Amino acid sequence: MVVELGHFALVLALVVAAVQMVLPAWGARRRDGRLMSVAEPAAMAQLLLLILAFAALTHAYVVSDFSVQNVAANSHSTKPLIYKISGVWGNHEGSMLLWVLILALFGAAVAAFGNNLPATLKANVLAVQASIALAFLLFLVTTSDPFMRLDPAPADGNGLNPILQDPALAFHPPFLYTGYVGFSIAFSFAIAALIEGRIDAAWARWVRPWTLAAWMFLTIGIAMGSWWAYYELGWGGWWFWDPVENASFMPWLAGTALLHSALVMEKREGLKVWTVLLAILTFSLSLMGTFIVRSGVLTSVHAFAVDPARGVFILGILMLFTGGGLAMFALRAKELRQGGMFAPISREGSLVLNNVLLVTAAATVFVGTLYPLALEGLTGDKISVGAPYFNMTFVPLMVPLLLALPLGPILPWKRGDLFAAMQRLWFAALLAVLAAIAAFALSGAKASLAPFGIAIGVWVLAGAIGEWLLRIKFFEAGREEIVRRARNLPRSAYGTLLAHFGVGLMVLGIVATTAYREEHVLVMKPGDKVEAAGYVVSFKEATSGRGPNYREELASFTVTRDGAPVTELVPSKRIYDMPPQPTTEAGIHNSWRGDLYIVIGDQQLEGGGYAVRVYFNPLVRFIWIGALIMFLGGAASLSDRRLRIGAPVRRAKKGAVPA
Amino acid sequence: MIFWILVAALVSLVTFWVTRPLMRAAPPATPASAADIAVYKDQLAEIDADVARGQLSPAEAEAARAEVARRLIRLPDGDAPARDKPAQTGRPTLAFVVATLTVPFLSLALYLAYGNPGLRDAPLAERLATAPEKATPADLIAKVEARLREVPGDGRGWDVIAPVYASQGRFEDAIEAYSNAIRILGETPRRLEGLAVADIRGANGVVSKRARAALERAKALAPDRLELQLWLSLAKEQDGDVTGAIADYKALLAKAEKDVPWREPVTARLAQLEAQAAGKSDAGGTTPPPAPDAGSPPGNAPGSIAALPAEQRAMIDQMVAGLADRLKTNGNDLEGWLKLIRALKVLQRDAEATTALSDARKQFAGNGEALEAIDGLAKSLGIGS
Amino acid sequence: MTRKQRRGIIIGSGVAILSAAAILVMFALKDSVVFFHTPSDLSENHVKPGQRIRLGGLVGNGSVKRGEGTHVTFTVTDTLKDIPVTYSGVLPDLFREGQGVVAEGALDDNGLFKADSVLAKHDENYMPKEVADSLKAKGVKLGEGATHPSAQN
Repeated sequence: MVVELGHFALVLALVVAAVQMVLPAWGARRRDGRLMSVAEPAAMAQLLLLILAFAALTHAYVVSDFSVQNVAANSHSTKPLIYKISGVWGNHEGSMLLWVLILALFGAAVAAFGNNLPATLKANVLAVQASIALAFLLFLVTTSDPFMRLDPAPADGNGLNPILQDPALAFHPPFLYTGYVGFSIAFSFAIAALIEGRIDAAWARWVRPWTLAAWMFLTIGIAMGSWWAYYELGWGGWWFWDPVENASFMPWLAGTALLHSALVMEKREGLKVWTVLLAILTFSLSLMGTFIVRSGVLTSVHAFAVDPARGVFILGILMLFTGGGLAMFALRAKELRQGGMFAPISREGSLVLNNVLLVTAAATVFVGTLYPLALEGLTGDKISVGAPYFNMTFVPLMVPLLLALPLGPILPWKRGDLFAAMQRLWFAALLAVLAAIAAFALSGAKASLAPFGIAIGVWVLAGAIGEWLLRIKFFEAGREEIVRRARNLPRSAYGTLLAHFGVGLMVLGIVATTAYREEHVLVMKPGDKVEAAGYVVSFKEATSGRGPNYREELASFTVTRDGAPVTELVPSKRIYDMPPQPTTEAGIHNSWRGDLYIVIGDQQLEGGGYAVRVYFNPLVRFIWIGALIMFLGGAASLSDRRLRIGAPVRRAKKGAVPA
Repeated sequence: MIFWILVAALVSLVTFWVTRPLMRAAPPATPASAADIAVYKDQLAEIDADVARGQLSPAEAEAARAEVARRLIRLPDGDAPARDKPAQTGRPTLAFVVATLTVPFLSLALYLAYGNPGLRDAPLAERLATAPEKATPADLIAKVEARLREVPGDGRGWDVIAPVYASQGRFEDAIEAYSNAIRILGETPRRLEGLAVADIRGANGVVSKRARAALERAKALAPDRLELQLWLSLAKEQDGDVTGAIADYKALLAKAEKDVPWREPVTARLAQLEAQAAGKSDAGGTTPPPAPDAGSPPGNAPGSIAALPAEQRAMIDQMVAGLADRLKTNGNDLEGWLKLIRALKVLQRDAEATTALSDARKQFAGNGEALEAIDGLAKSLGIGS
Repeated sequence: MTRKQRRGIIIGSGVAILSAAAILVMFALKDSVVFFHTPSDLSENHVKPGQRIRLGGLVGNGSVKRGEGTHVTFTVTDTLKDIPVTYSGVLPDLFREGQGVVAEGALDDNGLFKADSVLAKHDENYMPKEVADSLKAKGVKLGEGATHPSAQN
């Protein structure tokens, strides 16, 4: 009964979305307050119904109700509880249900917290949001029903792909989807503004918090996916330019651009047309990411759903919203007034540079991801575009972006002096040069570009700190004045500083890991030793064991440094019971200097040795810590009163409680 | 019943909630630009705050204030054409009626189309607790499995479930269960034979080292059990020791009771092997090597088809029928005909085998080589004449 | 500067960056695209020794031989043609005889494929799409490729 109730709630949510799409939009046209105000309860009802449906499916997973086809196909009674729950979205149907749930969550959040919006804008935004929900609910109900039943129920389920049975991956999709789907709000705002034919600085202020929230979650979601690939796939790498990774990275690049261009629009009313276009494109890229992952069109390490009928449906949704959005844009963009003027060298100018480079970078990733598909469709030739392509195109675009990054925030609006800005950051430049010299001295000519990369990382890091010091007048003012300024600096400024600092850390981590990684591949028998990055790794013994739902072969290694014991690492190979599939568990020793990373391969037939890979990945942690700091930067900005979603202070003082 | 009450409650609640604004008084119409004005006032306040903090020079602040002020002035006020439409005052009854009808009816129609209203939940724990006579075999297996997970040292449980796995074709599980039973309860000929047979079937008929070792240990415990020898002879045959296998099969047939189920197939296999051995010694060697035996799944000793569970026999029958159908439409497949004839003979459907034989002869009339192959097979199987 | 000039500078630099990127993309695609081939394609002499390609098919039954250290040789087959492959390194988890595999590397002058990376299919039902397509095109039914030839006695 719970299952069927969940199914009914899903269907009812679809109908409510249809009502929410039609009545408020109609009301906005007729300027009828009653019709428009249907949007709010409809958005809330849609959210509650989808929560009900999602809870019903989760319940079925938790109690192992194998009469639900989705549970039987993706769960197993012996699975630990956390993976029973994460199994809900570890498959096509469940993940799409999560997708619409998050979509409804954002819609309901606009309904609840959007009291500061003009009534017609709010009604139109919610109507557009409902149209997206309607399309995806139709997709769910007709092609990907998560509540399909089996009668009689099978004895046990097929189990969840073991590589997905992992804590980081369990929570990777919810974060990633919150990011993807969050950009739907920017899209809905853009379409609503085009419907009304009016867009101004206030619009940017309303959109920015939503975009920021989506960006934060996408950032952390991508970072979690990369972290998972790093320790679970056992290749020691953290990014593979895999189409599925690219699918989430393209909206991130476009969303980052959107975040910056909306800033110009809010402060100076510039880049209006561009910002609207970017909002449409960012969500289109999110939809395309969904299409790539959910339709199975690309060969990829993420082997999820493969079903052409679904692919065509999502492609239809993608074309409807991208095509519709762009057509709307083409019709209405001319009516939008141009905004404030600025010189090429100015805060605005630097943000334009940021936008051009980020969007171009997104375009190169787009080409590299979709070119193989297009070529196969046109000529039948099968190709793969690997990491070398992306390194050749993406990296050169990032270099000027990162070089300009510390300068942008200290340039004044309207017109600035590049030379003066550089002078103010002379110590950051000095630090960067020193770092490059140090890196060169330490590594020799081995990796000739690496010291340059290190210098860029240090430049961004020191630039962020330098900007902060300049803002609090660290070099001029007295101590009290400095403390007062540090306290008074708005949180959004701290957000920017943190986010840029995080970028610097990440660059440093990426350069160090890529250029200075040590790798040893060898066959080891118990008693053998290998040296890596100052550690002595000795193979102690090989044993076998049993976990809750797998068998494993473990190899234990003792790690010493300068004769002193450091740690014991136990990488293993697991064979899961259901489905019977092997996975590699790496043994990782974290330190600030870098990670010692050991994986074992197959046992050799002769002599009983194991193929062993020992890596040392210097500073690799900085990559994910950088992403976490970027996330925190977003959170700091979001908590700023200026951006707070609630309403302008004036109203809050009157005690108006957000519905 | 409770389900429908809940559905009705949910529908009416949602319908009421969503349509309520339509029947209430319209919300007080705030001027459309009020929200924008609030934002710009806020921006002015921010500029002041920045000046106070020393982030903005007074001159910059003045320019910024002027810009915000221009935005404020540009805001459309009451007389902008898009905004001065008077708000509708009449109750939107049409929308109300449509929405009130659409929500319940459309949702119910969609649900009836895609849902399974009658179907109860079936959580695993509840299914395991139901009375055994109502339980499906799958439930019983699940029950034993659940117990074995809790008490993996329960040899009896493994012993019980092992043949069930084997009969379901879950050979890997059967092997593990037999191994556990042997480890905990000790070796018996039955367990060892079960282990070996599961291994052989799992490997599509190949007698592996492990299976052979188990068979040999079983034979040491129960030297009189002929079936064990039968499997070992099959291993011999697979090793290429045809002469040894022929001798073994002959000895087995001599020792066996008249009505052992594997007598017929073994006899047939023996004839086939003898024909093969004879064919090899022929100078010309024109007879094609015996085609893979389509009739029996490769996993089974030819001797044991009749002894198979009914389910698998049915599967084999189905495969044979499929082959026969295919040959009816596309008869130009010598290998197929040879397979079919042999399979029918092995399945003891002699009349059909004879018919198939004559059909094949008709099909390949004039093709000397093919006819020779067909006749060779017929002779070796002892059919046709 | 007039408004027009300013806009001109901004648009101009945007176009410059875009065209630089377009040139980069073209060069990178030319240099780093790797074509996918099956063993049959290779034996029909489509590919010069030394050219980087991806070779996809099934791992030949009984062909995996481990040598010194982590050195391993095996054949990749599409059931019509076999190509011998050598590889040095740790094989992926799912590398098994009779299962789908994609090896990246180049042929040497003797027709031996030297792989520098080997990818196996990712789960029980999944096969690299290229492999599945080309096997299907050659009439190999998936799943049957995995049965042991010696089982057909």
